[in-house]
Amino acid sequence: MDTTQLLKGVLDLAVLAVLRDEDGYGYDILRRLRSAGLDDVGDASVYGTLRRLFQAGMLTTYVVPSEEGPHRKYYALNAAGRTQLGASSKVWRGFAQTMNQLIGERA
Amino acid sequence: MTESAAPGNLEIDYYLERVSAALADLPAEVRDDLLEDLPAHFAEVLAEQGGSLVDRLGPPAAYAAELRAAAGLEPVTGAAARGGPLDRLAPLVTRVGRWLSVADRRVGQLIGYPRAWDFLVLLRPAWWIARAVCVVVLIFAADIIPTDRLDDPIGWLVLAVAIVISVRMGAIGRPRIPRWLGWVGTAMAVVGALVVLADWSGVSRGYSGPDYYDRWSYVTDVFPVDSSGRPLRDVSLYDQDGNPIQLGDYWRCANGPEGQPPSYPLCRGPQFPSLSPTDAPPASGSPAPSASASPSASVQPSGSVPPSGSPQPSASPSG
Repeated sequence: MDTTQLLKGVLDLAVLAVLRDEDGYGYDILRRLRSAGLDDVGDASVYGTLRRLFQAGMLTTYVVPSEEGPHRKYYALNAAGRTQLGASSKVWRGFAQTMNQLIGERA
Repeated sequence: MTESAAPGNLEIDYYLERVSAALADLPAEVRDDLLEDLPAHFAEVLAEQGGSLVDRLGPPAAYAAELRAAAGLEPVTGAAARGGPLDRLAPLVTRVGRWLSVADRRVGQLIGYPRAWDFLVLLRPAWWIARAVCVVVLIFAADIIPTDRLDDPIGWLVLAVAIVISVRMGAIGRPRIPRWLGWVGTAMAVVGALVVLADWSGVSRGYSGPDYYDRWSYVTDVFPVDSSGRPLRDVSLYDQDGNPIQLGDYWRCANGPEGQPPSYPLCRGPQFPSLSPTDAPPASGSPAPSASASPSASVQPSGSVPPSGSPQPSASPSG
């Protein structure tokens, strides 16, 4: 099964989740997702998702100057983002449970 | 962990441009906002993962499509989504870009700069002057102004004005001309100037005239005089090898009174009335300089002897 298709539905939740404990810049977030096991996550997908969540008012940004290399734009969860994270997590758990049961019955 | 963003700049610029082109249908504000942080992001990708952006991120058009979908923006339909021929060239261009980047660093190390480009940037003012000179060379070559070369004050003035304008354009971008016009004009000026300069030797020879490289080729006769300006008669001249110097036009002298002398004077020169013109020694076949010390020429007979040591008096003139 192609995880790329699955990721599309849950990438928002995944991005919100990796920002829950620590702010991060784009590449950093991508790396966290991949090291968490989402190997197939696309660079442009993460970047686009961040922009969309920011536009939707769930993230705040701030720029951290870097001595060498480009300045980094850090993304942080705001209140709306945390609310969304909680709600989406609940939806996902329900959905995953349903799927697990479904698979368990058939298997 | 981030290294300098510079190494992939060319590649990043190109990739970003292609992504931007694939998003051309979006309102400029939305697109700019979407692309705002991508250069820094791409720099991170390159610094962390190496390779080329196309290797890491796929073709720019595909990246743009993914970005568009993830950002929740309407996908375009039709030809724009497929990407133009430039997108198919993307891997090649990216490869060339990386190769140039490597060459930039290698050459830079060789000449003691971080990057060769850093050094070239320092040369920009010199280039501004050089292109002005190219334009002026063309102006001269095309006879646009009534002066030929820099031997004319107008020529210097034109050059000075051209340099001032060129440096101003380089330094502060004024006077402002369209970018493409600047490129085309510069390319034409440089190529034209190179053509002119390649032909320069011929031009300058024709221009400077023979007296530049052979001051004596127009000399048809020589009249030696003594310190008080009196003509010396029956003088023979020898070159450094002892060969008689025979200046003059043989045909002009042919109908002279003396016929054909053995050595200089090939012609006898103007017939000065104050001197006895006709009793010069007969033009004997013997070229010995001592023979030409005519007693009738009252002035220093010894002076007619060629400088000691240089000539072999026995050398018989060929003509």
